[in-house]
Amino acid sequence: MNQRDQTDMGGLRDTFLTTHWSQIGDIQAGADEDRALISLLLERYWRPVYSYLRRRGFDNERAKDLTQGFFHEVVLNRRLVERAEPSKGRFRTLLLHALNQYVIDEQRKETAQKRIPPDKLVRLDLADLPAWAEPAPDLDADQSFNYSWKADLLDRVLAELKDRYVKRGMELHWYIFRDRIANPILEDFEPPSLTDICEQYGIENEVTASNMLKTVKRLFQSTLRKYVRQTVVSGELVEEEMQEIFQFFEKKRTE
Amino acid sequence: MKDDSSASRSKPDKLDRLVFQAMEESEPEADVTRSASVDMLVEKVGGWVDQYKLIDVLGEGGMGIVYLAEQKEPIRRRVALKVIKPGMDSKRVIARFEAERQALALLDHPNIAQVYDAGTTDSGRPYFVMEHVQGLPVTEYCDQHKLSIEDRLILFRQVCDAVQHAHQKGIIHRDIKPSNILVFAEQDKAIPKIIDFGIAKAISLPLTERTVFTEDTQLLGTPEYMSPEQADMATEDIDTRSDVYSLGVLLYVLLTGVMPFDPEALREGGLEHIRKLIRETDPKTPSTRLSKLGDEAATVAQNRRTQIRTLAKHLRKELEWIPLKAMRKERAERYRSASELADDIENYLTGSPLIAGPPSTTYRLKKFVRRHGTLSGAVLAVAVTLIIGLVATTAMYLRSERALGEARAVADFLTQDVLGAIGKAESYETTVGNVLDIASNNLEGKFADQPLVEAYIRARLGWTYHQLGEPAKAERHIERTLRLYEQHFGEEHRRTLGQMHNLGWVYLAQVRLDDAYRIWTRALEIVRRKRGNKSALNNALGCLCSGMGKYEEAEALFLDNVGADWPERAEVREYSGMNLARVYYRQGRYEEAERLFLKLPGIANAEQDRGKLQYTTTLADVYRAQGRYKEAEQLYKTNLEKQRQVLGEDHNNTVATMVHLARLYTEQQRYEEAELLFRQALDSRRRKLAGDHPDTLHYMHELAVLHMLQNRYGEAEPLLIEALEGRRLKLGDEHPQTLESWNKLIELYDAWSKPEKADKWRAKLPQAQAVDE
Repeated sequence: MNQRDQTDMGGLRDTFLTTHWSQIGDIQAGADEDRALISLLLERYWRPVYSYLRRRGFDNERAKDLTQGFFHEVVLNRRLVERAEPSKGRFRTLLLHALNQYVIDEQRKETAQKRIPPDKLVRLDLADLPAWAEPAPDLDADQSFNYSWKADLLDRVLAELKDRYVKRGMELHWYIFRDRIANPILEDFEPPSLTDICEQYGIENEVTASNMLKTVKRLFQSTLRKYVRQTVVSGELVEEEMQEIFQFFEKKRTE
Repeated sequence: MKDDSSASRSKPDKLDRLVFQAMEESEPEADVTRSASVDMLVEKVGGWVDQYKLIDVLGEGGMGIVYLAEQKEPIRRRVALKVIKPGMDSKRVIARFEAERQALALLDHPNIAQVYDAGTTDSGRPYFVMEHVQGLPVTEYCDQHKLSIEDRLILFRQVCDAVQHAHQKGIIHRDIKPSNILVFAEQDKAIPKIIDFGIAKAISLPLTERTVFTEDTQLLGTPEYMSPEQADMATEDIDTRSDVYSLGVLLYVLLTGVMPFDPEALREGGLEHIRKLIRETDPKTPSTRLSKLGDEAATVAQNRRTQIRTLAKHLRKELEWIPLKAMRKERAERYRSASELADDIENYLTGSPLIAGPPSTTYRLKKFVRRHGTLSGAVLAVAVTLIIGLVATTAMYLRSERALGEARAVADFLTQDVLGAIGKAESYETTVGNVLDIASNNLEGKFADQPLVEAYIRARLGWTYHQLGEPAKAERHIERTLRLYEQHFGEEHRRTLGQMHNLGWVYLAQVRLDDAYRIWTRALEIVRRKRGNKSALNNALGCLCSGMGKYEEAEALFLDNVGADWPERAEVREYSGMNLARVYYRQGRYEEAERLFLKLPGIANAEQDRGKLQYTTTLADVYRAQGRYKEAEQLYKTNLEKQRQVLGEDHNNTVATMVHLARLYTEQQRYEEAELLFRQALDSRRRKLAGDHPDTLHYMHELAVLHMLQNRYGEAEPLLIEALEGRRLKLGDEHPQTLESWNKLIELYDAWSKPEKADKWRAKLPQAQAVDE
């Protein structure tokens, strides 16, 4: 696997950021590269950070400020590396540890914005604040972070699945998966039977539908692994990270 | 239809459930409402298929389920029974199988699993019964046992032998892949057995009919091992070389541990994408793939009991040529048979030279052309001529062992330094001249210790420049070549003489008649002294003398050829005859010219011989000179028609005839007809050659002159200026053709009543000399 030597310059932080760099694709020449990276990180990870902060008792405005400050000051700067050790190679835990530390520091300081030149600051757009903005009351801050993290991850996976099938003109695959698995589970209703689905979409028989479903599941799995892979430094950690993120999954596997 | 749900809006435990369900291979039991029809389709362990009792499931593949079964009659044995999945037309499958059955019965090879029987199950699905082989797919076996490269090759050679055996019996496997080659150990020896012979053909469907809705390799079959012709729709057009291709892929995987095409990339875009990739993309070389694997390469090497570097070195040195040759897109470029492939494996193992080589120049060139489809046709045409010509020459002259290295140096220089440089160029607006300039620049000092290689390249470059109308650049290369040949071969060697000959033409193109005369006379002396063949030189020098007005000398030289009795030189004799006729024509000896022309055999059968079509044009010139316009026009026209058909609209000779006819019309003051032809000729030259090619400039000049005759000065002016500037740049200020345009321009302004412009150009005229029209 593509494991990096952890004694590399920049260590873990570099490894993670390199993964993300590779996704930024075509930054215009001369553009502020840090800015581009921050944008990507914000877009992808602001929700868990924000949820965590809200759970720690900060109000909306303050939580937004701190989220921005956290990404600008901690994630991009070397300070993330100082906290790398306990994270054991996973970006999620690294971020969480750093966030913990940051909150403790910040409570003694002024807000982040004042130290960052305004033109450098990437605005945090909270226009599409999701329904869970006020996290479930029975979760603590760490859990809240993890939950948001998971939800984001799954949304990305689902979006990619859909995208890939639609692009290939194989929407039917997506519909079956969505109607039979994704929607019923996420919205908590009884799934329609395969027979109903066949009837609805004009699929030949249940065997075909079931095969199609299996296919989508496989793609779901590989896509999920792919995304998880992007947040860990080595392939060996993928399973470990999966188990930790998905409790139920873990229980099932260790049974 | 419902909208998509969002995980972000769902409760935490739902997320876990979603992942759990999506990760589950099958539907939760309670959810499966299996219809009766499904049950009916499935043969069960413990049940029977005809006389075979199903004991266990051995495996499930894309095509169906394989059972371990027991046969009681006529002999008691365990067999593998493969039931093909629903969706196949059973009758067709069985019919196809029956058609091959007799041939299959002849297969008797220790490394081929026998197919015993075929039939249809109660549910109507086809099944096959074959020898039960307890083994691992070859790739798994090799990795599990950490077989060294050598052991893998030995194993692979056995597979090739078995495939060859089947091919000799007329059976093509069509689906060679690791899961169809099972390996087991017998007394510490690895024994491969190929299964499914005859089955793939029976159940193969055109790719379009296959179910392709998935990433699932199995449903699709295994496209990685599919040859381009199989990936193509024309499934009927499959021969033994398709198996050779699949063997090549297998070898690739055995050596490197990775597929030649990235499986994910392969499946990323559906059926058409797969087809395209297999048909058009060249696999990366195994050594390249290996170098890009990163840490995984260590595992690959470890599984082969070697180090990455050693493995890469072996691959790069020559081993990787073998799978790449087997995997060529063009069947004709692959190994001709599985046994030839096996031979090359043997060659490698014994250290003998391989049949496969590094990608040949032609091959790389084709690839280059494919990649740079946007390059102008002319550039590529020249590059192709340059390289193929060069390699051919080199191969012809250098037969020794050392020569091989030189030939390679030449090919490398051209493909890498020249074509490589083009590839790197930012824009593709590469002109022919550019290609050659790059070559010239890269050449300097490159072959200091290989003077012959340098000479070959320079000879070729020089001549190409010459043909492109760049005599000055040509001269530099050809003079250098000549010096190198003189040093190496001596002045009497035919290669040295050949360069003298060429150099003369290059001088001639620069209208350095005296230089040309000097070099050709010298060459002719040498040829005479050594009693060599002087026909070509006679001809060349004759033309020169004719052009210099030394008609008597020219006549003597041509007569020397025409009178000589060399049957094998009939061609040259005829050309000399034609040229002699031209000498007569220039001297105004029209009757003699006509008589001679009509005697030339080429005139009668010019249609069969493309080159000789031009004779007719010259005969028409004779008529034109005699004022026999009707005959001339008729002859030009019919000849032009023939040339258009045989040579095409843009051929030099076709265009020349066009212009000759245009001149006839000009003489007859049929200006409009003349204009049409001049324009066609000019367009063609611009298109085919280049804006600044001497021929293009020449026709530009002629069209301008025509416009002057038509009193269309405004149209003549830009043409004439373009012709003049082009000639100044290309030929220099003092070249007769430059001066011709220059004087014409002054004449134009005088006639147009623009004296100040006329004076301006007159003042700049290099020598105050007028050039005769």
